[in-house]
Amino acid sequence: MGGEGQGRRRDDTLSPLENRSKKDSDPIDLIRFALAQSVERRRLLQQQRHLQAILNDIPARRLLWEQACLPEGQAAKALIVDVMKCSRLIWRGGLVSAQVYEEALAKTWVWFVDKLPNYEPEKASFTTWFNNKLKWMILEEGRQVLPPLNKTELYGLIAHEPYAWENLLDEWVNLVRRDQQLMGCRMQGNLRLSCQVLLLEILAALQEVGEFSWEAISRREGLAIAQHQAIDQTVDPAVLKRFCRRRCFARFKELTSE
Amino acid sequence: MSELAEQLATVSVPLTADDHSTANKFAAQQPTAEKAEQVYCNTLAVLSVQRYLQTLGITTEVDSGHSWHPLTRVLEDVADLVLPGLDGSLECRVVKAGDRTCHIPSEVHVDRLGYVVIQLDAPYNVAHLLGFVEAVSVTALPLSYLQPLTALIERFLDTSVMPVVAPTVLLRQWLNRLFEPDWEPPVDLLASMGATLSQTRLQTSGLVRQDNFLRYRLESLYRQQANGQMPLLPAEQSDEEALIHLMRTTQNDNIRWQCADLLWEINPEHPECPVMTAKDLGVYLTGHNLALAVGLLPKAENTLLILARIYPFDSAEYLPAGLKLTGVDETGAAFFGIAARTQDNYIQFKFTADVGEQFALKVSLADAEFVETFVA
Repeated sequence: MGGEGQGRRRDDTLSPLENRSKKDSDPIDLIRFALAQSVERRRLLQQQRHLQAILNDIPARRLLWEQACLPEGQAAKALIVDVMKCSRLIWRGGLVSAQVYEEALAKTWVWFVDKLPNYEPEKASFTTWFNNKLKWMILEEGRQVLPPLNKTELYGLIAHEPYAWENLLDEWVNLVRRDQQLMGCRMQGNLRLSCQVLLLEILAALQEVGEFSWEAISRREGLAIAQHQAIDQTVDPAVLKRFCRRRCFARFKELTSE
Repeated sequence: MSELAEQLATVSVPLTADDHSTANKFAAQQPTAEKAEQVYCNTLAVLSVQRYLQTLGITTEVDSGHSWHPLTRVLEDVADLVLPGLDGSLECRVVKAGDRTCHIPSEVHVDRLGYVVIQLDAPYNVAHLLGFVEAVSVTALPLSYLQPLTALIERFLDTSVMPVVAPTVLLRQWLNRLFEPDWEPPVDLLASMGATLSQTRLQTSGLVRQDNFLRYRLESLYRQQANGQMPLLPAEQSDEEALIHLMRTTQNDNIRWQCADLLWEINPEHPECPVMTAKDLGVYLTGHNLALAVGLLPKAENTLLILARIYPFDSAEYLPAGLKLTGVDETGAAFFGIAARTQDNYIQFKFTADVGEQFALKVSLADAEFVETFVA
């Protein structure tokens, strides 16, 4: 097995349409053939390349649209819908739940068929027009599912209690001081700096001035290192922040939720 | 934007007592009253966006954000909401009624998928989601820059254009009932398949009466499972339960498919039924009324059990002799090939494919052929 072209769509064997002269693959002609003969129509619907070409061609979509708007335009209307469905250009649900997507999609089709006379072929393809509405239908679908608003409920921020904050800080300082894991986790290239030292510095800054900045912590650490090693060494605030986020804060969260 | 259009673009999310309890808990852990108010509003903003996204089925991980970290929310002005599906987080920023700009601190200008702006005012019983921007470069974002929330929704949709050169069918999506338009399950074709299957079983089961048929098939499946030994048919279960039990427990893919097929026949709405769809091949195969059915059963560890079956419909009873069904792998090599004999009601082949594996099914009759490429 494994002869030439196996497993590939070979246009010459699969689609007689492809073998026609260039003129015959003109989007306008494709539409005329499809409207005239059901076999041609079914063939066309399997040819995504042609379908996309039709959708991107202003005269082609104008022809389809004008045909569909005629009193006897049912066949053209159905062809527009089928061309769109088979073009695979309609946005798929992605992360949106299948239920919400399907519901919004069904409503968008109803809207599309209903509003087709308002379509403007020069402005956008049928699918672009459709996809744009689909987004709004999904937005609306989500809105519908939200619980109703209860206007009698009144909420607000409970008055701030400074003692609560001081107690919390004391509790955090104690937790950090006692934790072996934070003590053992040190910054590469700067062994004096452990997660514990850094967290205690941060908590001390909050305790003393009630404010905090990575630059201030970096300066304090720089001074401490200079005193310790008798050399002038500064720590980049961005490096400190990254180290804290990656190493110190994860453990801190575990500690405070234990 | 007119007032009506603004109302349409805004989503109003009711806030609950639980939201306020969380927001107040976080606010109580702040050094100053000013910071407490900021954390209170940030928390409500994140919860309101989370609630709206949940209605769309979007998975969020509020707990793993910086805004849910006891220390980070003290140190920074953050209101992030993690969206694992997009591998990033949204920033949820608050404005008050009458504000013309939204404050977006520079520390959140990076590492965000975008920014949702939420209007939040006392008595805080509702959060109005006003709009969305993908990126910011200033700390005071004019509200006129906001795009409608549909710009956010577009991020969740699959807007990629499927390749047209060699279209492939994504089988895994079928498990979520998302079919390519040309593979949407056609009710009439599938009904014909059911009729073909039951007709074949009447021919093969001979004298067994119709109403005893399920029991007969079930016993035969249990006998296969027991390798010809006395079958251990569970006594206290209905026939359907016994069928599902065997389908779940058997290690034999063939038996599993037979069970699945039978379940599909007796109760196609059952959630453990295989995903089954079909396509009319008439246009490709010189007008023969033939359909290609493809069925899927998920198997553990990212593997799909796949069934490919060709059957006649409408007035046709048998497949045309010489009709071939071939499976072709990514390299172009055939991994199976079967052909219809005279008086075959249908032909089928079952195989497995791992996630991402590509294969093609080729149906050929004399000079005509149909090929479809699939990705498991």
